[in-house]
Amino acid sequence: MGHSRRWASAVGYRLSGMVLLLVVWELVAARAEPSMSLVRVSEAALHYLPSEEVRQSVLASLRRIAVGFTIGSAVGLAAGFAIGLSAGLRAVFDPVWGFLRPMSPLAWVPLSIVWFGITEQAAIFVIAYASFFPVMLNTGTGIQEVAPVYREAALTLGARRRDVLRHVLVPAAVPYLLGGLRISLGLSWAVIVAAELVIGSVLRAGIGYLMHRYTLVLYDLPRVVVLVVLVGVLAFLADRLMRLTAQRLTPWRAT
Amino acid sequence: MASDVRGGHVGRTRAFQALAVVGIVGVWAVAASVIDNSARLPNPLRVPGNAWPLIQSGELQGHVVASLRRIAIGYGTAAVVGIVVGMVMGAFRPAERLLDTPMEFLRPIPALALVPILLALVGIGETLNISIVFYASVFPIIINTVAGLKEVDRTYVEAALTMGAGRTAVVRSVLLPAALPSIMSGLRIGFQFAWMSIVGAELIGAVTGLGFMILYYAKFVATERVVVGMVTIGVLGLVFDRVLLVLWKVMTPWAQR
Amino acid sequence: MSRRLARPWVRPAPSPPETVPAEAADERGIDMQGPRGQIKVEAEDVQVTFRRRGQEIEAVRDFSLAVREGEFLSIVGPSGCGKSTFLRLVAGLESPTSGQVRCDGKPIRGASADRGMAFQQYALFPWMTLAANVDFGPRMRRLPKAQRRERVERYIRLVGLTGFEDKYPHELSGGMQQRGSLARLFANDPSLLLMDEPLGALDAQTRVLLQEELMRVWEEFGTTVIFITHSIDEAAFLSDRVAVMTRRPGRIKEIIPVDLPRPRTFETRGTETFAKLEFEIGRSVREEVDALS
Repeated sequence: MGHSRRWASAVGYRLSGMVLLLVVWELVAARAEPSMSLVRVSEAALHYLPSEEVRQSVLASLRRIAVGFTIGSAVGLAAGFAIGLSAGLRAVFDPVWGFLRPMSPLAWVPLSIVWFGITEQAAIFVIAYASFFPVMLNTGTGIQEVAPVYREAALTLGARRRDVLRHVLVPAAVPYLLGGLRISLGLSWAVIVAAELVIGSVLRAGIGYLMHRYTLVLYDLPRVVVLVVLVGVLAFLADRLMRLTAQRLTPWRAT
Repeated sequence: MASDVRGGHVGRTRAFQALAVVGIVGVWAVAASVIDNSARLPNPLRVPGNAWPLIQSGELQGHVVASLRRIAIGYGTAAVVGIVVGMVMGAFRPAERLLDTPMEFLRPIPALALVPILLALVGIGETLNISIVFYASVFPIIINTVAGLKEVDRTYVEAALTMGAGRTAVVRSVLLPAALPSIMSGLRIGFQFAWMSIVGAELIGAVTGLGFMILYYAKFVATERVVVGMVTIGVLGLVFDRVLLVLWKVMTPWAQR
Repeated sequence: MSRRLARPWVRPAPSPPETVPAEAADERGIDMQGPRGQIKVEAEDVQVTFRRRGQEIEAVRDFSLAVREGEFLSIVGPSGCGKSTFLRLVAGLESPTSGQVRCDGKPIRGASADRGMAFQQYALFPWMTLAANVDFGPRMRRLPKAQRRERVERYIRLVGLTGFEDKYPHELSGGMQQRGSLARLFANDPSLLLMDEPLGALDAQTRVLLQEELMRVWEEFGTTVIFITHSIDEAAFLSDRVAVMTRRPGRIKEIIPVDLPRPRTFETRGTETFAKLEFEIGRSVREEVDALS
């Protein structure tokens, strides 16, 4: 197939895929909930999306994610180094992680509310908790998985133990760390919406708050749909940004 | 990680780990007893005392069953749908290219963000929760199934063809087994997502279930009971994940690291 | 089955460095640094036992060997006979369970830049450019910047990789990576080079070319080299002496001197001496391999 034909074919499939989705959506909406029709949703998107309210809420949610993600990742990074380097710490904490890891970070929302009250700190705490694990585990793995041959090469080139840490272990762990950050970021988005939905109207701003408001307080379904899609788009962009940053920071990766 | 230990003294490591866990819980218990304020720090020593009446009255079991039921139906459906769709996509390039875009569009949307929409569509109830679980777990299953099929080394297929295998035989004896480790991996991940989402869904839109239970007791600041709920969530999640892991190992012994 | 166990160099330990008989030194036309014929590395009744999965594996036993200053010594033997283990002892990456390994008369403790090691996987740090890699050793030794820069340039030029300084290892071919790792090694001026099948991962043609490269570079410095390889012809081509190890637990079975003139070129491979040597070494190793089954 010629180049432009292949490209056209790819674009054709993409469009058809989206059209398929929209058609299915329209059918569901027509049967179950006419206010969710594409027309109404598009209208809402045009009028509502640029509004001040949305802007404030997006910023609020982003802020909470930023704070929680930074705290959780920083602690996770430190912890990752600790358990990566010390087999003793690994042995002690392995069962703890093993138990906590499968547990959803959202399971901590109630306890977080007890501790921080029905405030945004509760949401930030849960995000920090959610960000902590992937970063810690990935960093720990990164340090452990550093092929021993690099350590040995450094030693036979005159590096002391301190040098090995700085010049071998840390750079080698960076790709893993970045992978962990990506996962954490994705999790943060999932968590923030849920946390804001639970905490509810006290927040006064936030995407989850808006969803809560327009589902339970004022009923405006098209707006809710717009918000849902907005979350998806934001999460997607954040992930892409993270991936790009990762590529920039690790020019030595073959991919 | 038991593989850390040279000489395979796994037994000794396990004993050490058990000791470590006891130690950590011990420190926690001491701190909690000193602070003596369950709003600040739940006391692990009081947890069993709180768990017992919940078990006796059947309340805990009721919540567990409610949550498990939703997961079973939601995840079970997702597994079937996911594998079927994944196989279709893996086998037919047009199907994959067609469905890939909507999937990429839907995937970043967190399952729990759909609660408001589903609330409007089906109202509070079982369908809501089950749908959330389904949505959360179906994507990893599809993606891993597709990846599993796509990554089958062509050399295996060619080897089979040059040994006289017909198309069905190739699918059955080469493609499916080769894709199986990836599919099982997708099932495990999907389950983790399912478990995560059920807790969240029950926090928002349910009146039974473990997620609901921990929020309920949190509102009364009965943190020890919250801990009971969290521990139950953790243990169940762990148990099922282990089951899936064993299943994975049994079904694909050749794919072990 | 007769075994030739010739160990004329064994003396009671400890002992002062001893000069080797004159004819062995005259074979080589290389101008060496330091007193000729001195013993550079000496292993004495070394034994190494590993524990793996609860089982005790004896890698090396009754192992004794003396390596002369400035010589190129290869070690060959069946798989798993403990060649790499011995090399790692000399590098200081592991310690013997019993016995002693000495370098320049002093027992070896820990790794050092003076005993440089080349690995089969090249082990160039993937997150550093070629130049940064070659700079690593000098940097660890805290040499002044100007000196370092000059060194890096010189050694990269030596291995023929000028122009690739800013490339990352993954952008280089296998042969280039191995040359890069040699540059990195030599930039440290080690007095001892330990090479663990460095050319094993290369295709046959690149391997032959790199063997000749290695000879050219080595002849310029005259460093002592202990070289491990599976390839008999490689050992014969490169070395002054070839040590054959028994199967596990390994020890030195015999040492075969290589009577080929230097510099070694491609033509050397066509000589009758070379063929005979290859056969003799090959047969010795084959005896060990056959004894395994």
